Amino acid sequence: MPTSSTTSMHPLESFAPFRRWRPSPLRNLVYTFVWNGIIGVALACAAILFGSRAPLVTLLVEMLLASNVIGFLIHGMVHLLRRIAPGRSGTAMRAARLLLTACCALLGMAVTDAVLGGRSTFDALLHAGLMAQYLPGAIVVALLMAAVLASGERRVASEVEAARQQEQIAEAARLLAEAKLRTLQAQIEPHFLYNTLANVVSLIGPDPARARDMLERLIDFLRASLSASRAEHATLGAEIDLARAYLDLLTVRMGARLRFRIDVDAACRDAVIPPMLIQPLVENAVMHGIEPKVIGGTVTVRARRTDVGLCVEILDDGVGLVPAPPRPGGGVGLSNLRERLRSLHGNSAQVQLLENQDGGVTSRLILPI
Amino acid sequence: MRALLADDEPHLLAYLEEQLAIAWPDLRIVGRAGNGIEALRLVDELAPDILFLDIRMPGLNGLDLAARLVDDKRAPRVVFTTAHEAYALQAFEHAAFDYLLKPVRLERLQRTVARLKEALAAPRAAPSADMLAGLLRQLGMAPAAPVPAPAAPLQWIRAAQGQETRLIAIDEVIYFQSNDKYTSVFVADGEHLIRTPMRQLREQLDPQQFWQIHRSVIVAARHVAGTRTDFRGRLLVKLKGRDEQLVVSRNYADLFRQM
Repeated sequence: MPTSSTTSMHPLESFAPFRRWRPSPLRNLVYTFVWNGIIGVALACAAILFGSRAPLVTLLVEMLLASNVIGFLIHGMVHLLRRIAPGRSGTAMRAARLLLTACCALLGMAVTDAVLGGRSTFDALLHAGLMAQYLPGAIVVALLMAAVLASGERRVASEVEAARQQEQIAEAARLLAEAKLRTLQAQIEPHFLYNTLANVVSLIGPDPARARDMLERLIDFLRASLSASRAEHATLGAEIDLARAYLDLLTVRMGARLRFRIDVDAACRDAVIPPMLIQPLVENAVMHGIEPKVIGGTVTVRARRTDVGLCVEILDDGVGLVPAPPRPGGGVGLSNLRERLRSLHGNSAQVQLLENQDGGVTSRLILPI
Repeated sequence: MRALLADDEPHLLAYLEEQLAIAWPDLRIVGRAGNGIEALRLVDELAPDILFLDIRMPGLNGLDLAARLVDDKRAPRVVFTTAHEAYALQAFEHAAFDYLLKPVRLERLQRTVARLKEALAAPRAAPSADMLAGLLRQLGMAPAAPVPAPAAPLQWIRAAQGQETRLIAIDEVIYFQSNDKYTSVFVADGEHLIRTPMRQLREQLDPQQFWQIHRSVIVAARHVAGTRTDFRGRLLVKLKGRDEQLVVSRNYADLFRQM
């Protein structure tokens, strides 16, 4: 829908200094006066160029009078037209304006003629010979007005479009920065660290090899997540490895309650994707699906190419979506992920949440390749 | 003295037991639980004097478990163990004897053990559950009467889509519009059909966030960009980033009068 500012623009707003003056009736009248003066001088010059032999002063007075009479007539009529049909635009309105302008030009010339020549205005208008004489001029004035209006509308429309694009770019940059920050925070979620390190401490005595292994996995995970949240792009393979390191750590912590499977087509591993898309979904599956379930369950990460793009699915057979109070350190919001995808890919990327037959949840990412 | 340990992370459970063996060699660990439900059952069965309780556990979390014990007037001394410092205040609200951050340090555990020994040796003026419940009352807190939670506002909408059931988060919804049989749920990337009738939806939605503007339309407040009146005098709601405008019927126009 075109914004109303494109249709309500005054023709004189084509000039930058006039645009800065806030709209008011006085401003419009002054604009019209200035505009008329310019046209009047231009017409006088044109008359000289086309070989008029009248003295310059006479010519100027004549043309300035004519252009002011015509200009104010048009001004008044266009104003009236807007009052009658507010907010309208389109071809019909343009045609009406063109016709009105032509009529005003005709009437204005007749009035000028009458003032200068001392003849009655009605006389002049009704006199067929005079009409024929004025008609070409009127058409020229009307076309000129139409051209000015059209170019003004186009310019305002393009400015509006440019401003909108600027806004979108700024918005996307903001979202990206915010997403980076949030993913970084989410990865180094303190309770994840505390709990993991508490496990490492608890293993040092009874099972030092296991403790060392867990510490190594933690380092892998931290390094990968820190570098991933700073990178612009990642490969699906690297993101899957990150998810695997995370799930490995949690399997040590949760023992037999958590099992996981990773099922990724080898051909997909090189696909370039935005970093930190999969990790929050894996976290959600564990945190909201498996952790609250007494007997635990399985998380499956699946990726394959489909005809709509790269399809990554994170499935769990956990408790499903139960209305639960938000927990401290809860997973990264799905809405954040969704916004981030939209700012990166528009509508060609999707994140869907599906309910599984067995009660768990599947998060599905569809990314353009 | 007999103690029960509850933690859903097996290594942490084993570690606590190890530390306790050093800090309090005479303590008998009578049971170990991996979730809240099991812990509750074992408290019933074994009647321990002391309960070392993790807070985040599946089934029943540590705070709810403690609240239930106080409510049933059979409260062992509860020591919460958790990685979440944020729960400390809540834990004491639930009559915690002590609050340990994981991984539990030996010297800190020794202090807890010393206090536990002292408390358990003192002659009990009253059964501890009564005492704790009294304390809770003094603090102005109902001692864990299972307050029926007010019906939670709708968080997720299930929409059938072919063979699949899509889950739509309520904050994704831009507006609902009902037809004859179905209700359409409009989200940024499309439209989903659900069977929930308008009247039922209205009851389940948070009225602060969702405004009914027409018999058949409920709109999410945060997606409303503004209103305008068209040439026929109808009040229309404009939506952020969308072309369609929703008609506000006369009965609901008051909603926008104050704006």
